[in-house]
Amino acid sequence: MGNRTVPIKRHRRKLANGEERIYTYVVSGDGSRRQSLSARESSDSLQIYRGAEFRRIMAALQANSSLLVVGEAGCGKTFLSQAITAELTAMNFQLAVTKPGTVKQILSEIANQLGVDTENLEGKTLSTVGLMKEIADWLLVNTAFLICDNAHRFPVSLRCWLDQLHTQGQPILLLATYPTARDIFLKLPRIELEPMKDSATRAIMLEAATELNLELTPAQIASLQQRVGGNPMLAKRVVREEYLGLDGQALDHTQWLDITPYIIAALMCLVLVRFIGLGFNNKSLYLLGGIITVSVAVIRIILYSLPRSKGRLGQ
Amino acid sequence: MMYKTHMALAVAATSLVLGTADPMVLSLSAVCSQLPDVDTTKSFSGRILFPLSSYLEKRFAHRSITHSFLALSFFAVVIFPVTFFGYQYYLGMVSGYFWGFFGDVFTKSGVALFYPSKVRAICPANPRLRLSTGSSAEWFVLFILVVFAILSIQINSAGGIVRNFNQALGLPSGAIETVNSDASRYLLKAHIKGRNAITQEPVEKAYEIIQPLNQNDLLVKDELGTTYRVGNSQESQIVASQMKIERVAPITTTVTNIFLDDEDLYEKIAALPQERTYLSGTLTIFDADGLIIPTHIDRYDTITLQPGSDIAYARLISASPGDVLRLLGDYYASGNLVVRVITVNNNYF
Repeated sequence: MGNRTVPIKRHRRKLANGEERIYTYVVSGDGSRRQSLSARESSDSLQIYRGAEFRRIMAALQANSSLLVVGEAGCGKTFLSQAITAELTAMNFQLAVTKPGTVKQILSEIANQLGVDTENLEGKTLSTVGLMKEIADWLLVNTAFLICDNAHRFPVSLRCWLDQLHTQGQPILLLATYPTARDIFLKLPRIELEPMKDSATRAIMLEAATELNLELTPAQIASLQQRVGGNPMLAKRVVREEYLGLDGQALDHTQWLDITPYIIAALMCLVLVRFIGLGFNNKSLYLLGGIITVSVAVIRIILYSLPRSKGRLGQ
Repeated sequence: MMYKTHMALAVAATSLVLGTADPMVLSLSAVCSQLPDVDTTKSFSGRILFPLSSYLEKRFAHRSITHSFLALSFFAVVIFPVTFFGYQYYLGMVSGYFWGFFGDVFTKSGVALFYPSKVRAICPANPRLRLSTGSSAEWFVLFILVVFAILSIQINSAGGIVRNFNQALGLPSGAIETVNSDASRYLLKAHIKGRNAITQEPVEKAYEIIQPLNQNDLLVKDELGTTYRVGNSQESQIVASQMKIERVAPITTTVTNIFLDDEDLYEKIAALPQERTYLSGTLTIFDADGLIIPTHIDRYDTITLQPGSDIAYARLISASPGDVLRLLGDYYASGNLVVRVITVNNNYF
């Protein structure tokens, strides 16, 4: 594989309007195919927003250790993985980045990126099991990083294979949206992405607005930011919704706390009036307490019998 | 939420929680309910405190830092000097601020109650059931809150929840409690529904209250000055099933003592004001040979006699000077009388 160039390329291009953009590509083994991973403005500095996590992941991978990054949808995992990819590429490390697809497609992609043969001696395409073995064997003798985004979608077979790679000491970076607590997800040291700071989401919103040539007053941004909850994807989306003139009632972040039980608990304390009335032999207080007790019970029943929000959009 | 809704909620809740109808406390709480919204220049308070709101909205999301328990504690500490003017004012302001942001829990995007945590507190959990600002649902809520605020203020200005509850039910035990707390400040009337214990005739009439006799009974008089014991005990002349107390007018009560040492009762008693003067105590009557005080079964006898040879003992419980003069005026007596003189403070009578 010595003559192969690094499979991921990053270019800084100056556009006609003076903006600078960074393009990140995956280049196939023979250089005939290239696929864009991202095109972002050079002014974007990932390290501003998730700097601590970025440095931690880089340090972990360079120390030959695997990591699992979890967080809600849109919290910036893919962005982070692209930044890591770019950084590792710039440091001339060899790596493979998975893309969504079937198990076979994913494995072929990895094999292509690493330059592992996907055909057997007879020129036949390897089976899934064959690819797994071939890649695993290759990784035993070569140093390369494996970066798997959207790992929560991986079927069991792929997860078992990753488990096996982990056991043989392969550094893997898994990024997943709330994965189930089992096998490979449980075994890897985990970083949970916290909601971003207000200043970071606001900067992202401003960037998104600038991109759309949209002028937002601080009051508008403060108002839109209510629906962001520290989620960079939503930060961009609310700006786009504003741009399209949608009233944007969608509240998709996960930073909610339903305080209904606490409100009921506070109301329940009023039931004490009944016992105070009983204790002081005060008939009116006792009756009043009884009325309060029933009212609280009714409020409780009503609040708990309200229709629940469903998991589906628009419901 | 609209500023009106915040105000109505703050006023209703403050009046209910603090049990106050003080217009100063309630207006302070209404003003303070606008303060959390200082985090946007679009709000009423934001426009007034522009430099602050402009600073805040450039840095924080709406309904975050100023809508939190953190801000509430900060606010409570900063305005602590207000306690100098009155603790109620301070509580009203803190309560106004609290309800000013807590109401937003019921809106679509919720409130970051626990800032710096980004978690937004909501109720109920289904966003479709929460309020959006200016929606017709919010106007409906505003209407209900205004009704609540008016009710609460009215109830509190009429003596608080428990008293009004007693009034509404007309429970005799509750009425006596009301009398106990009000009798020294107001001339009270009892609207009584019940029956006459002797004749079994139904009674539905208003009586002026003289004093509570015990936990169950009141001493009252009708417009002719006839006294009755009203309540649920066996000695009552009127058995009450419902008793509602009405404040007729504010009064001033003066209490004096009369000491008699073998003195002419007439002289001492005739000098007292005659209307709404009540005498209580025990007198030793000398030369009481011919003294007879009639007893009545259909009314409460304010003067009772324990006869003896030559000396008799008269026991007075809120007896009127007229009765004392009529029955004991010719005699010499010794003893100590407590005189309660009630003066009505306005021009109703």
